Amino acid sequence: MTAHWPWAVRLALATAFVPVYYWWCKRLLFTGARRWAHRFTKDRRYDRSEIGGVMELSAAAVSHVLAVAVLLWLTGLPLSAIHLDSLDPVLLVLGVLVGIGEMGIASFLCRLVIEASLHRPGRPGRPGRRGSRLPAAASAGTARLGGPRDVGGWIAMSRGGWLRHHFKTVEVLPLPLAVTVMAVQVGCEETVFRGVLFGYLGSAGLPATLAVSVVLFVLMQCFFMGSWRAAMFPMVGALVMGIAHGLLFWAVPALPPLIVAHVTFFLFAVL
Amino acid sequence: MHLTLTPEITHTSEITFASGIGLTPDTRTYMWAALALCSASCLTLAAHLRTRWLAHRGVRFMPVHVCLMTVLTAAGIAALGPGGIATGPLWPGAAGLAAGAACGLLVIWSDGAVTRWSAGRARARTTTAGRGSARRPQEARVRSMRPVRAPGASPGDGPRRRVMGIAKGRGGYVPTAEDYRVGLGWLLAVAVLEELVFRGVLLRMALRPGHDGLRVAGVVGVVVMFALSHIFFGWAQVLAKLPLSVLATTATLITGSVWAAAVTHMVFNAYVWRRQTALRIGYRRKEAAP
Repeated sequence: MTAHWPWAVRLALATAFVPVYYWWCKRLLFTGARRWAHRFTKDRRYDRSEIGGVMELSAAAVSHVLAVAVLLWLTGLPLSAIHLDSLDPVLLVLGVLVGIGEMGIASFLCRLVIEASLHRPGRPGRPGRRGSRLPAAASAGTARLGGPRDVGGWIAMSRGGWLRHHFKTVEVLPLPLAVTVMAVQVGCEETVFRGVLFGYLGSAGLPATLAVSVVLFVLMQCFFMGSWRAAMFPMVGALVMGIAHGLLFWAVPALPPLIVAHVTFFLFAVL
Repeated sequence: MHLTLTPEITHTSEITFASGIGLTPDTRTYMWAALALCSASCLTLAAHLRTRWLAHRGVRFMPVHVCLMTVLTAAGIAALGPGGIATGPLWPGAAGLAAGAACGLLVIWSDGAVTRWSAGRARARTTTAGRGSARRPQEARVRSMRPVRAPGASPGDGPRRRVMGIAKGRGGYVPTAEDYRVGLGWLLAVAVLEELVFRGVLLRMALRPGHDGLRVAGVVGVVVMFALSHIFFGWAQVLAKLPLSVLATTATLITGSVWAAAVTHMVFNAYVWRRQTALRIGYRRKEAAP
């Protein structure tokens, strides 16, 4: 439908889609899911946060499928253009290894950020170059404002925001069902950020398409996170995955191995 | 600047690819991607595997790290061919080993200098900052939170929740200095395997692009990545490991073989083991003294 429009207009449409759907529509969706969760708390085996987490993730998975359908209709891209049909078993197995490697790199980069934050000049107990000293009470306040004081605090923060849905879902649902819900959700994300975006904007060449895809994918991660520090983990993960998957999709146009890699990344992060 | 391993090695790799393993271009691309990502993060992956799933079974860090690097090296040989790892020109034999040992001594000196310099800075900082401050770790607050339960529900109600590895794991998902207080054999094995992974696999992958700029960026990336992989022991150790990384990379590029770098690393690790042992003995004597 809009596939033949000028590239700049297509870029604007793609850029607008991310906040409109991933922020505004999903906010409405999550509000509705939470209301339903309150009704279901009559089932006393699970608490509200568990039911809410499962319902929010399930609702997100279903709405993602609808969003992909709408996006395909809007862009006018045929299904063949997003390369969902490549099911080479060797590539699927290698997709698992790619996902594990991405998780390792993302975890390593997060550790670098954490270490940099814990050792930056000016932290309480670590005065800045001017040698200023804060009184004890002020130090404690700065610690609260300046984020966690140790790695354990950072790891505790990483379980918040939308990641909570995934943790709760894996905790509560039978594992095959939890993995299926997760796979539908992240599969749709791969379809949007690799399949559709690369098909829709790919005429501009690899650097431009990759940059747009990575920026939008990273931006999407910070929605529904409580703070920038909590969002750091998914944003770093998305940066690693966005670059690796973008380059891989450009070299080997096949979406299923990337979906497998994405699901593996999540399972490795959550399990 | 034109960076390359010796032509013989590159040639060997191509032959292996062309006739040894019949990989399609797509499979090769994915294999390289997986190999690069896992190799670059091998220490982090080993720490995660151990912390989440193996620590509660009594498995220590070092065996996990060594096993993972062995698998990655084998995968590297399968994907890239043995050139630069198991084979190479003969001339680096004696000369390369001697150069490796000399580089090892240089690394011992530079590592010690950087470590002493950073320790001096840390002492000065401690003196300036004084001791202690009101502190309440954030994790304590998070652990004290309880989920909101439905009215009338008791905590014991309902089915069991799955206890996930990330929840079971204790610690920072990183190796500690204690994990490296092991026998000399382990430290020498780690030295060789780290060289095989960083210089044997990653460096060779960094040298594959046709563009010189990309090659230089790749080599610098591998050098920095190796130093940064020691972040778990603090920024001072990252800085202290830069000379080892630079010298080992240079030795590999000059000799076309990873063995000189392996000797450098082994000499350094042997020194570290000797120093740790001496410190331990000194500490025990101090403890035993009346």
